[in-house]
Amino acid sequence: MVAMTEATGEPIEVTMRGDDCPCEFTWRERSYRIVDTGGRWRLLGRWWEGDGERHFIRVVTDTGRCFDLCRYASTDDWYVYRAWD
Amino acid sequence: MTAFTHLHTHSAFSLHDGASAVEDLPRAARDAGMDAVALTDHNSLAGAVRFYQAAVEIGVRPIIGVEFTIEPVLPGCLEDAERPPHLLLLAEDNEGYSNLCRLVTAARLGEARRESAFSEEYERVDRDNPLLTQQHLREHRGHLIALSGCRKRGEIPALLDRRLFPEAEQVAEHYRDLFGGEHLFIELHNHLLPRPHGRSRYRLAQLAARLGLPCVATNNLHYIEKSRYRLQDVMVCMGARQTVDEPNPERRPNAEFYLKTSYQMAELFADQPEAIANAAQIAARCEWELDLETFHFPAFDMTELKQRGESKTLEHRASESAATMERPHERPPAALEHPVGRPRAPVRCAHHCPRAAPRTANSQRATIFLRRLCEEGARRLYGHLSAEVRERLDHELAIIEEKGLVDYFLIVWDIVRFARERGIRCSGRGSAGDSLVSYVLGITHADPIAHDLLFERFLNPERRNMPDIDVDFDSRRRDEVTKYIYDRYGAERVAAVCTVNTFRARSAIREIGRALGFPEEEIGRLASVFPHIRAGDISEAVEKYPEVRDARLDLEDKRLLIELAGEIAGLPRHLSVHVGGLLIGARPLTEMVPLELANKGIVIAQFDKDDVEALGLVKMDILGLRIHSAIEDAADHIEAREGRRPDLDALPLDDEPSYELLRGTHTVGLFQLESPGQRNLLGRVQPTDFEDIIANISLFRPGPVQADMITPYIMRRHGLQEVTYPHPALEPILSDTFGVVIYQEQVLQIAHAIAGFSPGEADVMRRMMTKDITPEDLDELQERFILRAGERDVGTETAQEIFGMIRGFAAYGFNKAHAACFGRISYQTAWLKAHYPAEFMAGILSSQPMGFYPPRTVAEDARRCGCGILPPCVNRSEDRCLVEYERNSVGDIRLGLWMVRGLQERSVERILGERECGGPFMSLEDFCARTSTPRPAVENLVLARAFAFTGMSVRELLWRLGALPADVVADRRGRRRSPSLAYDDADELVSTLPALDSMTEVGRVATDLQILGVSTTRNAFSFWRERLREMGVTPSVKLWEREDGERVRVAGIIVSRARPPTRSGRTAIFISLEDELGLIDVAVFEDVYQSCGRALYTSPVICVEGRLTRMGALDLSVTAENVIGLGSWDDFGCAPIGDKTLGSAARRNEHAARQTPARGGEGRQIAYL
Repeated sequence: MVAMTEATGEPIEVTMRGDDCPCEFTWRERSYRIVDTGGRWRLLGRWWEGDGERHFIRVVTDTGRCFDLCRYASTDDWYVYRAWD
Repeated sequence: MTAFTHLHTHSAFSLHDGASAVEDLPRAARDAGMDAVALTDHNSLAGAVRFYQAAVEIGVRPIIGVEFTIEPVLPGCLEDAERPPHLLLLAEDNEGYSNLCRLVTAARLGEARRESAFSEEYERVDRDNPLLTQQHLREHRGHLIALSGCRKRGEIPALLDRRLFPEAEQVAEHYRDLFGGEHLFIELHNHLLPRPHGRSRYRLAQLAARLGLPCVATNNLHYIEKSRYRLQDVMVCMGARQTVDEPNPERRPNAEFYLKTSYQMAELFADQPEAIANAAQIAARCEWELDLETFHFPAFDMTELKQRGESKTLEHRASESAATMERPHERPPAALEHPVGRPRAPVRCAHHCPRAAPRTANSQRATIFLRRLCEEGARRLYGHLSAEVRERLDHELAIIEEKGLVDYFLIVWDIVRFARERGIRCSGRGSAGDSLVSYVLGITHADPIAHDLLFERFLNPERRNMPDIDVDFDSRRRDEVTKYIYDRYGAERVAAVCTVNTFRARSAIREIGRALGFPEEEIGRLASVFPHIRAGDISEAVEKYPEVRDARLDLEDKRLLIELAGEIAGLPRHLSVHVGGLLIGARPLTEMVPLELANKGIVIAQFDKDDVEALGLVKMDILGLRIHSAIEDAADHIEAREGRRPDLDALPLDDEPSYELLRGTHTVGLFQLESPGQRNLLGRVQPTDFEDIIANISLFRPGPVQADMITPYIMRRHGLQEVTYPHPALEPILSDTFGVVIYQEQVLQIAHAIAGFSPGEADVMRRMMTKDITPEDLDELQERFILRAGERDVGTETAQEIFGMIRGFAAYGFNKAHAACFGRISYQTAWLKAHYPAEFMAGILSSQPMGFYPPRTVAEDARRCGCGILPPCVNRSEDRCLVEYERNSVGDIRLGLWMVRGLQERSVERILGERECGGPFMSLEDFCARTSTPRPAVENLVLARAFAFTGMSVRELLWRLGALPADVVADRRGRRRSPSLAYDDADELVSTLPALDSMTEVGRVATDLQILGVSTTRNAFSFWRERLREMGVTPSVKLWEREDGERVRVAGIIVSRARPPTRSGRTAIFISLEDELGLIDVAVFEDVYQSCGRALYTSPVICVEGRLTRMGALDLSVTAENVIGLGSWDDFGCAPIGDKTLGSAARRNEHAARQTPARGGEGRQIAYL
């Protein structure tokens, strides 16, 4: 079983392939190439307080590390939601 | 790509769980490239007919289903007993649809569904939590396809989610055995949820594979556009009475429950393509067609009539005649349906004959029976059967028979007969009055021959229309009539039509505001500022209405609230009982109509009147009319005084004092003739006979007012304008109305006289002119009219002129029969008020709320008629008002106990019962001890001076009441503590009474208004007298001394406010002000409304500056140039409640005025106190 190491919320730059498939991102000054994607899910926060919809995607990088990336649907801003060990 | 069909969809009829209008669903599906779509609301088919119509119209195939809340297969495994599982059922065919209707009814009514009306069984039904039992499902499971339901509430997925695999399989096997493997699908969702929920579809697919069951993908949609997720989320909170900050498992974590395209769905189920393919396959299997072509008439059961031994002679004769044609069955089937084909294409003037009803022995007997009844009735009313009457009866009966309406008439006759036998006052209204058959059967009371009424206006052989016979009953006894109908036809065949209540501005603000967590007071303040408008008009209202604009609302933090209120506008909020519409089925209604329970235990169809009409179900309107109660009361009082009851239905129509009353416009309380506008019109018309009453009722309608038919009518009537006819053939038709076309019947007669149209053709033409007609169709119609007129030697120009004339009036003309039916009641009320004012006004006061004015105004008017108003008395008052003659030969009105605020019907019954058994009450203590009336109600009785007989002042009595212990006076709920001291001791307890001031006069009036709604001493407005004199205000009676056009200042309490539609669309508000001595009519137009609107809607007492308009001897009104609010009771330092009541009564009154349909009804209802 994997243990969760970090829930960060740090903004990242993501390069896309096509409309909604990330292929590369930079986190903490290091670039990761995405080799596989897992589940995708979407969540609403407290929309009545202005929270927008967030799209999540689980990715496996060329380093073998697993990340849950998140994108705000309204702004297209990405951040690392969780970095798995 | 495989086509996909949405099979699990919720509309707003899944109350609190669907955020889109059902009508929008088919179009959205089509726009997404689909050729079929299903509707599956929670435990409801209420949207079915609208959905079907919308789908068929745009060529999308509708599929109908229901998501049921169902008894769990494994109750022991249910996580939360409050949340039973869901199961989705789709109708495979029409029989499947019928089963859905039966199942919805069973889920909604349970075992109570077989009970007759007003049964106690209904009290046990949980209206808010319908539940389908497994037993009911088993009984009606045929022709249905079952889907396992949503992830959370479907029993199978919910068990799987909790990893109870064997149990989930057991449930799946249960349903597989019940429906068969071909008819059960495991439903898969992919709503892009995070793990572990995102994985549940794989576990479901595994289970399905193990059991050999097919899977199907659905999106469980709760809104069409994604953007509606906010509203849907708020609606769930509203339903749970929670705020958005509170957690609720029913709320959805994201916005994926919208109508996705086939492409999106295929992508979401890329790894389960068979589930997508199965959705299309199921859709292809479902063939649902609503029959919108056949009329379904109720069938009159003659057998029962015979068994009851009623109308024996008539029935005997009828069966004799029938026997010669065909030997009837020993016991003909109780229910027979007469389907009559309805043509698809709109029928024009061409003759159309609907498919004849199958002639059965029963229907032949019914036809003969109806004829006999008509002949008997005609002999009774006309003395003998003249050739004219016989001919007309033959003509009408032939059409009635051809249209298959014999049973319908017999049913109405039977209901009216029942009412009459029980002494329940009733009268038919509407175009049914055009029929001689209705008249001789006693359904309507205006003679169609004498009043020149045309049968074809009611029932046109050339149209596929269905008649609407509306009957008004004494509203206090309407329930007896409906109970009779339920008992007579059986619970399975009778249901009330529903009304779909939708969100309006106030309800939307209140409910959404609460869910968004705004404080209650803030919401209340915001909601109360808005007039009764649609929720979608809120933003506009902030600009448009001065009363909103000038309230200076702080809307900065309420943007979301107002946006959501706009979205919810027009969506259904709940179903309620339609005022009168009853369905009587020839077969059990549940074959095509789902039923549920509304308030007060009334079984309603989930279909409203439009749905019902589309389905061809013939309904009848059994309405309650309060004026009938008032008339009955008045007749009771007269009988008590004179020992004989006036026969009001047989009054000669030439009673001079009655017309004098009308001409003097002293018509407060009169049916249909009391509104300020109508009083104004009466003054101008100066009626002298019954035809004038009919004309008055017909003229005071939005149409004629907008088209200004009134002025030429009045000018010509008084000889100020020449009466001309474009063609001599029009003279006999229009001479009664001085050449002005007022009635729809006249349009028909003109088309007949000039162009030789048959009455049926003429009615089709009239209807075409009434609707939005294209210029081409109008040209064609005109051409035909001129051509046909030419054949009768009417010149083209004249024909053109006449065509233009009826074209202008056709849209506005009023149904004379309706006016004549109502006019009879108006005349009866005029007669009563002219001859028995105290008895009549007592009846009106007892029947509140009704009519145009609050009880306060009615009481003031009674005082003007010479009647005193006496406070209620526990030893003299009855439930209703009485008339006493000891001090006054005209009669004083002793207010009834019903009028005492807070005194419940139960308490009134107990007081009257106790008085009858144990004699008069000796004292306050005696009253409390004997009746257990709750303390707050006793307090109100004291305040209303119902204990004046004790000789003690109100304050003294209140002191005593306060000192009485809880074993003498009952608490709020009417419970008394067990006695701890003897009753005599109580007197000692209250002996330590201090000296108390008596009440001030202002206090007296304010208290009266607060507790009783009327003043028993003096006019409330008299307290303003001094101030008004200083302001130079002219009292109402002195206005008669002023000249037309003179500037005046008037003041009064607003008693009614109406804002009718105007031709220009600009605002016109008509206000009745009441000052100390009478009523003043005030008109406020757009400019003044814009500058002074707020005073009009916030201040109960106003002063108006303006110009006097006088037309004719008795017409007088003030056109406002300025309106000043004059404050309230606070200024006298007392009774703020009295003030509030005045203000809110006026506001509610306006609301009622807006709600009142133009065709009339019971007039404007005022809820007061």
